[in-house]
Amino acid sequence: MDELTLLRNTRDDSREPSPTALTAGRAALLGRIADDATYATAQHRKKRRWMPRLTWAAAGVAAAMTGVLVAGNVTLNAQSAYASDVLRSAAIQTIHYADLVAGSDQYLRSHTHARWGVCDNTGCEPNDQILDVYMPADPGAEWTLYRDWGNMSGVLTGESIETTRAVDGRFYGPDSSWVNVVFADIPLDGAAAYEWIDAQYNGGSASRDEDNFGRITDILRSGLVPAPQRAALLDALSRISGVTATDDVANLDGVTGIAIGRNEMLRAGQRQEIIIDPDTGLVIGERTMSGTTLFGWGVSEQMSLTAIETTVVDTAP
Amino acid sequence: MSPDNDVIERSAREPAVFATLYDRHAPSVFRYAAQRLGDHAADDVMSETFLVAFERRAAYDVTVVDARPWLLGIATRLMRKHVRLEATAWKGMTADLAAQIVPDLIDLAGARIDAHRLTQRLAKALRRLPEIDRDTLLLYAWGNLDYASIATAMEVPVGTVRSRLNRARRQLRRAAGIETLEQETDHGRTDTAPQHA
Repeated sequence: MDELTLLRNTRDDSREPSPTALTAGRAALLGRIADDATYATAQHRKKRRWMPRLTWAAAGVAAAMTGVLVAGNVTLNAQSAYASDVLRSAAIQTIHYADLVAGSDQYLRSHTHARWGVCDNTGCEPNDQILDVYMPADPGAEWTLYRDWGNMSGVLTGESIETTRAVDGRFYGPDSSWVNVVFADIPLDGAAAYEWIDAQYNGGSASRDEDNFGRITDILRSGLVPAPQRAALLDALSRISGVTATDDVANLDGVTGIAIGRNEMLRAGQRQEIIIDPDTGLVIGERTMSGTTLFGWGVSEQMSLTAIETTVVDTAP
Repeated sequence: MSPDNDVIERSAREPAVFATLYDRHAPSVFRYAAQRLGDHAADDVMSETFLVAFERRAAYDVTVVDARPWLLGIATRLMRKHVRLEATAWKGMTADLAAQIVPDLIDLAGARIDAHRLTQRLAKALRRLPEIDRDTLLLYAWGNLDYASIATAMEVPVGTVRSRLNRARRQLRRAAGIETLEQETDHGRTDTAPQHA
């Protein structure tokens, strides 16, 4: 008898879920199904207004009945569970994805089209910026940043368009690299990557979870993270509590993906999101949604949106 | 009775039929999760697995008749957020594992080490297996899936499943002090009756 058979023989088929757990799980599923039916009915109603209201009523009764049975946090649990699954599936896809690799004398280019707010005492106005970062295949060679500041003046020259070069992406000084991490330092296992990020928490942000989420997405948004480390970071994101997913979110250039984000209760519910391509694990954009009325934004309004695209190019400006 | 793939296909038009899948497979998902994490966490994993499955049903490969590998794959991914809990559960099951494994392995190891030390070594080796190897091993051992089904569950080729099981097996043997390695050639399940059943 080999080790695998021995281990298999320790399988315990006598365990059964309790009737209470079975009923609760079924009620949670039925509640989710009722939500789906309600949504589908609403979509249908928009197209066919002469449909009798009975369907709505039936869906409402079903939702109300399951609402009694299901604990109040089922919806959030379902969203979190879905986000976990999306992220872990994306992590798996990322590992299999033939990643973009710059050949010698080539660059990995991360192109960001950003719509960020410029705020003063009177409120905020959207301002579009373009940021093109060229990371050379040779780690010792200079990186290049092309930046169009839109309506703003650049901080290096005062011009609205700036091109600058620096080894290691240190465009704005020796202590500030464009990617504040050595990719090789990122553990390749999701659990280990989460522990690695969590261990670096030093008390910043509104909460530990927000800070962990922010530091992971800061790395991912560069668009330059190799596939193995990217997979581990996506997996690590799924381990942060309160992370949820929204399907079919368009980035600033209209490319759709899945938005992964979390609402920070200690920041009036503001929601930070990254938009990922689930097939490649690449970050294709970011979005910030307001949680309350602030600086002219209403509740759940888009405060910022970006589009990120990663390509291999032969030359840098 | 409609096969699973028919149920999932129908649920696109009639979402409520998806509950049939829950009735068929919830106990199986629970058993697998409970043995890895304990009953309390298994309740949550069982429930969340079907919520995720419902969300992702459009992506289901309708040529696959049995949905159990797909469901256990979802459960496995959900369980990764319970790493610490699983480490504790592993410690708890050491005695049970030892009761099953130790006598045979002591034979294999030529009684070079005593049962207590061997148990400790094996438990440590199991805890230290890389996450993906442990998932593969436990889908085989406790999820009762064959190689092809594990490949479906983990979204990897069958060859990858084979190599992961070989690697896990090598680590168990090394922990037991058994040097003779045999190449894993069993592609299916020939001995599926658990001793606890």
